[in-house]
Amino acid sequence: MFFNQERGQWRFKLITSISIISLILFIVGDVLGIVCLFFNPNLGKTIFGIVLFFPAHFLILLALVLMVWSGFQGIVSDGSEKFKSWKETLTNAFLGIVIVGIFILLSDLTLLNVPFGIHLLFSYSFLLLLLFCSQVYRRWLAIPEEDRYARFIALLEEIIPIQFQEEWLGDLQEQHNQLIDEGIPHWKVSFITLLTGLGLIRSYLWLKFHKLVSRWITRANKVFLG
Amino acid sequence: MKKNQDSIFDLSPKEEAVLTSVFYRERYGLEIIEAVKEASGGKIKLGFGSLYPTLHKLEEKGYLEARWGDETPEERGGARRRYYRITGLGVKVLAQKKQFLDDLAGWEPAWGGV
Repeated sequence: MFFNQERGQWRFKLITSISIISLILFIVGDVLGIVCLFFNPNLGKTIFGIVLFFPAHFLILLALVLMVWSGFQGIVSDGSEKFKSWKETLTNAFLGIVIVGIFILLSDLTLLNVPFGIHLLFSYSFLLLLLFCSQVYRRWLAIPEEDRYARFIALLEEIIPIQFQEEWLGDLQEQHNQLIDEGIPHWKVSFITLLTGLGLIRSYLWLKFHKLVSRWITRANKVFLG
Repeated sequence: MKKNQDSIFDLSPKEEAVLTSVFYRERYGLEIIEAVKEASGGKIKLGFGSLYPTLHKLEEKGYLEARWGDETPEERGGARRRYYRITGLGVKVLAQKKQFLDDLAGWEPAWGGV
């Protein structure tokens, strides 16, 4: 047991170090690549910039994979059982990384002709957002499974006005229970419930916006049409 | 009168589907989603994000009216259901739309060809 914990901690330190080095290399490579591509570019600099760009993005993907993996190792080496299923964690991490990777590659392809400040703003703000989300996700995982749904409903109750809660949240709860009764896998039920919750927030925002626009139109009609 | 004539073009496909789903009987939100999904063979999936704005718009136009159900099912956490049913105006608009589509399909030029 001691040997396993020791080995886990070593692995944790090693993976964390590699992920930090990868992240630093990415930042250096990305900034250099942008400078080469956008500041007085010539053929040599452009080729060098492109050559730097792609390995840099490979490195950030690697860094993110390793960060998630090191987080997992760190928790497992504590001997706690916060992660019920490591497969679920890795699948989520993989999905997150694919989304970040696609975003960065797309932003590179579409923003190549735009000042590099915008590229930096988009890439790094997205990176910070991802790190924030990973923290939220880790805390979310630490909550006991049966409490997660109750907390989600409590969060929706905070957002959605009281006059819609009985109908909307009632429908959401009924759908949730129906899905469980149908024997749909737990992760899928959670995912559908999350999407439904986001849909309810969207409905609320639509109604709010609609009310606002209607008020503007009424006022404009009074002013211009009498 | 003009508004009534234009109202058939004022119905989006989503609004038409929701309105038709409550044509014969009153339904509540989740039931409407399931009715549309089942009737379309799973091809049209109404989300909660678009259902309630659609219901709100239809209610605002006077094509739907709502009432609270009496039952408080346990699977809804004791919350009542809100049932929607079509109004006379709603029925009229759907009939006008159907009539328009039939007329359009069967329309022939008076002079024998274009």
